[in-house]
Amino acid sequence: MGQPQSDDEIASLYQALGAEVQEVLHKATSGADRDELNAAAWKAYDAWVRAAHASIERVVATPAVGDAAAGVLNVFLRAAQVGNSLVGSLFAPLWPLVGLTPLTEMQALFDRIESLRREVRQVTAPDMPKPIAPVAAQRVAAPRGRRSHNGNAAADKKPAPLGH
Amino acid sequence: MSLITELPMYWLDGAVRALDGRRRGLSDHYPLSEDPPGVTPYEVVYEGGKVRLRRYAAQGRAHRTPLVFVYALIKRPFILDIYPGRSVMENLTRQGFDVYMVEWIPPSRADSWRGFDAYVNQDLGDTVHAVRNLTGAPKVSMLGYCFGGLLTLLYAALHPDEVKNLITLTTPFDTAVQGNPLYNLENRFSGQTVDLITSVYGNCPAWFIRGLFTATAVVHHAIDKYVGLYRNKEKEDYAEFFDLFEQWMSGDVPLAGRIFREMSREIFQKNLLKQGEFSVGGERVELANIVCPLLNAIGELDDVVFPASSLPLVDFVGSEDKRNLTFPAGHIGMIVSGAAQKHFWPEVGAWLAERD
Repeated sequence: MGQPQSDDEIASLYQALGAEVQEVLHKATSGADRDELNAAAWKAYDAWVRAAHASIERVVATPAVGDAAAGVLNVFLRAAQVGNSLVGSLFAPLWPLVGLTPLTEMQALFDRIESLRREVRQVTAPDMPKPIAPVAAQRVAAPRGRRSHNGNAAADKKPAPLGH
Repeated sequence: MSLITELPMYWLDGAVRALDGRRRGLSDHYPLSEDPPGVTPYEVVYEGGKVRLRRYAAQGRAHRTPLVFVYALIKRPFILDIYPGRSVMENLTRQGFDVYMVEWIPPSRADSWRGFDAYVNQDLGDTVHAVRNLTGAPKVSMLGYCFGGLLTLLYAALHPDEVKNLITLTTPFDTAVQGNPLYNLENRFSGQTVDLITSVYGNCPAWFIRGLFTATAVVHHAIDKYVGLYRNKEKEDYAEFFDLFEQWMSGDVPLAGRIFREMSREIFQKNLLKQGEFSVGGERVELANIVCPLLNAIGELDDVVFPASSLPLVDFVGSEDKRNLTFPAGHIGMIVSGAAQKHFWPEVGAWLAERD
């Protein structure tokens, strides 16, 4: 935990697990009382969790697993991309025919509503402290809602300095 | 009831929570109102861009310098104020800090253009200015957790005149460290994969982020946490806390497409921040510009951000007053564990108070 485990450390975790399992078997066969057996079983379980966690962490941290995960993800994403394109090109012209609005137009409408909502909030919200004067002046000139809407990053890279 | 009969019930509850989290994550406008209410009173004092700024007022006599707490862009921030006695906000306000917590509003598809420039220079800049405006303080102390630590670090490097003290908590810095499952997965995804994700979804979807984090602790998420619930069910409040905690764990949010691309390619794959070649908004991030006091807090048992990834940070900043603070806890334990509440956060508070 907190750092990669070496082969030796992982091996010692499995040795500890083996010892705990032996202890459980010993108690089970020697007629130990139930509480003792339970305590030994939980110790064995904890040892198994430590060993399994370290092993899986080690496997997931190998480049081969990372490459495999990336490969599977690429195939899935390509399929999703092709699927989206197909659905868009085949069905988009059909929606208006049955009286439905295409998703892209709905999305644009939602975005516009959101943008207007922000502008209204900026203008009307009485309980919000006004942003610092120089910043407020810039915001009035170029409301953020619109900028986020047109797909462009904000023009003002830095917040304006304080006036005092 | 025995473990064998109870475990399936816990798994089913977990599946319901996971599906519910997936529903929230898939929504283009994340249902913020479904977050649990928290235990410490706060007021929203500023809202703009993708930020909502909460003020948690100091209890008793307040320190002079306001503290801006920058939460991560991943998951919702209610983990910081989740339960009485396990709340960072409660802890800090009791120590006399006016805490301004940066709550990031999850991006919708229309926000996919947002990169580090928008989050750091614009949103964080507006937030810091709002705090300075509200309090009259010339500078603020900043504390960033995980991804929030990275944002805070960038802000302090780009706007050093505005930051009085800086605390980075479990912050990824050197992403070339070996043996970390999360870094390995991020590093093996090619630029093509990253482009495909944002091409198909616009943003990096919540399920993808959840998958990455689950891969770092498979045994825990699949079995051990439920066994832990069974073993501790008699403990007072354990089940209630477990439920809230799992609600947070399953509440992943999407990451804006552009910042995901910048993070994956430049920070993780090329390690540009450590190499001093990372730029935000066309300006190179010079960590040597950071000259304010720095406390770099690290979880010794952190298996999301390995200590080896965070520790070198102090060698790259220009501060004279700087140090690493390691604490024997994991990534989330640094926030919610009883030991962290008792020992770690008071130490953080004392460090800040000395430099107030």
